[in-house]
Order: sequence, then C-alpha cells, then structure tokens
Amino acid sequence: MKDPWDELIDGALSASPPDERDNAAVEKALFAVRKYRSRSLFNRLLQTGLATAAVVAGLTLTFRPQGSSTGSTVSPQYAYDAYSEVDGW
Amino acid sequence: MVNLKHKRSARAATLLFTVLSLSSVHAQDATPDLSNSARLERLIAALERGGIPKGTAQVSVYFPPRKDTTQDAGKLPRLSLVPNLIRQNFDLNVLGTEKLLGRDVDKLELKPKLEGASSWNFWIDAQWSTPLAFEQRGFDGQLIRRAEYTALKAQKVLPRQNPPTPLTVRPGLERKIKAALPNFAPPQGFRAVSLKRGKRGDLQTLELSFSDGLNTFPLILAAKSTKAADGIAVRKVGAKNGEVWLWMVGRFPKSTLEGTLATVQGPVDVDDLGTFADSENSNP
Repeated sequence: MKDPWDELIDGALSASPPDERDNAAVEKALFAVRKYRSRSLFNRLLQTGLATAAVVAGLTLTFRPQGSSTGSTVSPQYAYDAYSEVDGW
Repeated sequence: MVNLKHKRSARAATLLFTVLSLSSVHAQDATPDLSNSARLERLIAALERGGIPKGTAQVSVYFPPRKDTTQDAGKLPRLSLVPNLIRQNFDLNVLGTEKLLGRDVDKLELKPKLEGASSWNFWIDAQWSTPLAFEQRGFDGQLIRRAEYTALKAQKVLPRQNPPTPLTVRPGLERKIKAALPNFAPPQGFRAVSLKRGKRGDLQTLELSFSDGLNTFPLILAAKSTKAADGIAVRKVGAKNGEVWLWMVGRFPKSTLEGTLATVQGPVDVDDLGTFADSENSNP
C-alpha cells in the first residue's frame, strides 16, 4: 500500500506535462515529503534514545555493589549473612 | 607333692588371668553394645567437648550460596547445639563403622522426627570420641554443608581448651515473642534461642534465631524488604508504628518458609522487642 504522501506526489507529477504542472501542488507535495522525512528521523532518534536509556538503567541496576540497597529493597546477601552468623559456619 | 599342687594352681591361675585379660582387651576393641539413647549421649558429648585432632580440614557450604563453596581450615567448624532439643527432635541411627584417614570411625545419623528439617551424618573416631567429619542434608536429601578432616598430623588429638557454651531455649524470650509477634509459630520442633539488634549495611534490624537442636535459622525484622532468593521468604506486616518486613532464611520447603511467616497476625510490636533485645545485650 502506497504512502498517502507518495500518492500526492505521484498525482501532482502525473497531472500534467512539465510545462503545465500545478506548481502549487508540487510545492505542497515536496513540503509534505520533507515533513515526513524529518518526522521519521525524529522517531528514529527517539527510539534510539529510549533504547539507550533502558540499557543504561538495566546495567546500573544489575551491577550494583553486592549488599547495597535500592529504595525499599535490600540485597538477599544481608539475609544470608544473618543466617551464617547464627549458624556459625 | 605339695609343691606340685602349688605349681598346678599357679599355672591354672595364670591361664585364667590370661584368658580374662584377653577377653577384656577384646571387649575394649569391639564397639560396645550400647542402647541408642546412650549412643546419643556419647555423640552429644563428643560434639560438645570432644578433642580437636591436629590436621587439616575442608569445609564445603552449599547454602547459603557463596562464591567459594569449599575452603580449607585447620579444624572442623563449631556446631550450634541445643542438647535438649536434639534429644527431643532427632532419632539416632547407627549406620555402621568405616575407615576415615586410616582410622576406625562410627557413622551415625541424626534424623529429624519432623518433616522439613535437615538431617545430619557424623563420622566419630572410635578411639578419640571426636568427630572427624559431619554433613548436613536438607529435607530433599541435598547436601547443604560438609566438613571433614583431609589429613591428620601425628595421629594426635588436642584437648578442647574452651568448650563452647551450648545454646539454650529461652522461655522468657518466647513469651516476649508471643506478645510482640501475635500468633507467630515457628516450624514444629524449633524454639527461640536468641535475639539481638543487627546492622546490615545502613539497615537496622532485629534478629531472632530459632533452633531444633542442630539446625538454626534467623527471623529478621527490618524496615525494608529483601529480594526474593533461594531459601528466603519475606512478608510485610502491620506494626504498631507503621509497617515492618519479616525475613525468614533457611533450607526449608518454600511452603514452610511462607507458611511460618503467614502465622503472624499483626500488629507487630517492634519497639517492645527492641527494648527486650537491649536488656538482653546489657545483661547477657
């Protein structure tokens, strides 16, 4: 299925011979293409940014020093340490 | 004639003495025919006060999980014993005699009477009456910990200088727990043996410990939760001044861990328990 912007460009280019073209329509179509492309680039940048942020957050959370706490949750190592202490091994 | 009679009597007496001596030596060499309760008392005494063989040992711990599972040591680790609870919660099975490092050892098993607890095997030196190895196996038969001598130096056992003070059940503490943790019931056979304040990183904790005689587990009260992991159950309960997290750690079935925590019907009185811990520490 053709993109609506492509249809608009095709329509503008096939409407008449070059010397009789509706220049306003061609201008409109080209403007639309530029807008589409810039939006597409923005989307790509946004996706890349989000993915990078997710990876950085994941690494930060995964490689926290052993025994440290995050918010309301602490490492299970604390619980294991308590166990080893009462058991003496 | 009289002289001959004397000689015969003397020979007979010598022969009788020799036979009696030999039978006495034989009786010492053989494993004495003891009742199971007598054997259990000997085992408890061996674990409490047995001498320390000079040599090298190896200690393997599979729970809690750790990086270096097996480490070398100069002797076997000390066990946290509550003799009365061992008598109450375990059956002794004699599994036979074996050779360990060239020495005769009796292999004994302490099997829990109640489901879910760990069982223990001991290799007790027949001559020295001291353990040369022991291991703990979980409710599912998996090896949890094992300690054994890997070499003995000069076949020598040193007397224990300062025998460890055995843990004891604390009825006063249990009454306090009953009041501060409404309806809490530890797994069957386990009794409260200690309470102390702890500090885990920046986190202040109150740490109770329970024992069935040989297996000990902590119940921790903290302002934060801990991440789910093998052998750990957590539960948030209401407290008189907000909320508190309970952590239970031990090699129990998951249903036992979670079921034990589920017995607590808030609100938990953390302050009261803390005051009791302080009084315990200042007046041990």
